[in-house]
Amino acid sequence: MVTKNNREMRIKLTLILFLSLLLNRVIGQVISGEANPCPETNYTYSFSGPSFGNYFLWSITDGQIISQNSNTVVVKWYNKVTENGKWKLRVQYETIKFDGTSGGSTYLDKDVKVNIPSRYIITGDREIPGDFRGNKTYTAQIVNSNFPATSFIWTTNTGIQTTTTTPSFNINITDDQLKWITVAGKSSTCPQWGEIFKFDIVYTPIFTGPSSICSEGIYTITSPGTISLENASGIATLTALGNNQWKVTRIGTASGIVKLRSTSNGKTFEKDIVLGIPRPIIVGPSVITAPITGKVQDYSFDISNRIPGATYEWSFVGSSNVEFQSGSTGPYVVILVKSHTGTASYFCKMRLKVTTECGTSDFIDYNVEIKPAQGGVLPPEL
Amino acid sequence: MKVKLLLLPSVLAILLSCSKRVNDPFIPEEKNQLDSIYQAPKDPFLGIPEKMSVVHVQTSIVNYNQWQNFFVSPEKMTIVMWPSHDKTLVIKDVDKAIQGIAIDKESNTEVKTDNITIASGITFQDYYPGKYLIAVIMSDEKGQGKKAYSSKEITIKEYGKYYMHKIFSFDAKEREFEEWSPKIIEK
Repeated sequence: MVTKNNREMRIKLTLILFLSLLLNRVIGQVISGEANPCPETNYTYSFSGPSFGNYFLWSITDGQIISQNSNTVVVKWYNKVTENGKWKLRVQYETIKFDGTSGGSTYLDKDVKVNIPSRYIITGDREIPGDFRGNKTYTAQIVNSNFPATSFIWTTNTGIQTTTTTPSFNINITDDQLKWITVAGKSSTCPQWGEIFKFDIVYTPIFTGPSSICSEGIYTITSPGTISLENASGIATLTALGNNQWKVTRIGTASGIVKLRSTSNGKTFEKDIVLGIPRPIIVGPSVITAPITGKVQDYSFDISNRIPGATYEWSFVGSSNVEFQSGSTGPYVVILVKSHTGTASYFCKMRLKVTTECGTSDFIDYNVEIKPAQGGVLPPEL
Repeated sequence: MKVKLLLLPSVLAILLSCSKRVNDPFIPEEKNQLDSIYQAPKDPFLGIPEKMSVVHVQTSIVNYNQWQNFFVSPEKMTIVMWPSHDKTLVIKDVDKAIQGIAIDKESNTEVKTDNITIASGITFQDYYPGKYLIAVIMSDEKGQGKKAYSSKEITIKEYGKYYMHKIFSFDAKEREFEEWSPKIIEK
């Protein structure tokens, strides 16, 4: 005779058995081992549960399995923090049915967070004038704030290797030999340094020498890169003299503007050099419409390839209706055009003469057509 | 009746515990196919400022052990970078390349750089836009593929970002060139 109490007791016991089985299956099995390991160091991990046939298959993400002995494995985690790190250890095993046969394959994962430092980018002056001497400060700026470093190692091509506890590095520049700086961080608990960032230093060359030459000029370049002379075909030649000096020689009476170029790390730095008297390029209106009677219209003329130190002298040929507003010297002038009430255009010239230390140029003419006024309406400004 | 009462939860427990089937084991097959053993990072430039150019070079080899078959392992190598804006650089002598010397095919002259690093990874930061040749050379200390090398020319754009991971094959040939793989990730 089964009483009601006995039946309830049996149901309770059955439920306890059921839950204990579940707990044993779901919660009781763990991968034990270091959850916050250091990179590039061997660690042992163990799986606590059974597997049919003692079958265990271990695999790893962002790490390497060094050795395996059934439910125990020795691993080494990689030293990289790309995408916040995805370090994971997985064991694949066979469950066991109550009748002792295989219940099929399943797996258990263990996520770990490796104690590695973030990447650090370098901030500070990258381009330094070639003649700079003094102190410069460079700073390591964290890329991934989930992985802060507590110390930093700085190295340079000049043999400096120093460790700092703050993310900054002071360096005294006494010449132009510092070419690059690297930095890597380290966490407080692990000895391994993180990823290296490399920052190149570029010295901007300092050109010393004349801006214009009539026959030849000597140039000293502080912190030169690869030196060449550009736009110089038929105009000038370049000769290396050694000791950071180069000579630019004019070819005969050729004239032009050449570029003395220094190329460092793929970047170019240039100095313009005027040889002889390059033909000026006049910029201004070539067709002018005269204003109506009683009005005056102004027009400007300029030189697009001005020569430093040169003097310019303008004149206007072919019309008494034109005068200069405020002088006829300098690279930029303004002319005032008076009324022209005729029916046909007339043609005249802006005439220019350039004088440099190399002499005075021939006249350079620029043709201008002046059209008659149009029906009492002021022409549009050009 | 007693047996039935015990059997039902037991069967349920077994069924529940077996419900997580393996359908994505990531143990590679025993074959040297890079795609099967290497997964490229989805965003290797996480956290890098927008207005900054970076070239991340990483070096690895395909290794083998009896537990894991083939796998990709970071490996220290010589990493060399040359500006090649107006040149066509090639490596003709791996011993010279280790010293930073490449050959300009146009002028048949040697071009030297001191941008040489020995590491399994480095990031070149804020390089000027233009063409660069990057070479990675395996060390001569291990038995596998001594001084095997690879190179790749890239054009750095303003604020361009490049992730270059060279993974040498398990059977890399000593002092021989191997194509750059896997593909470069560019942003």
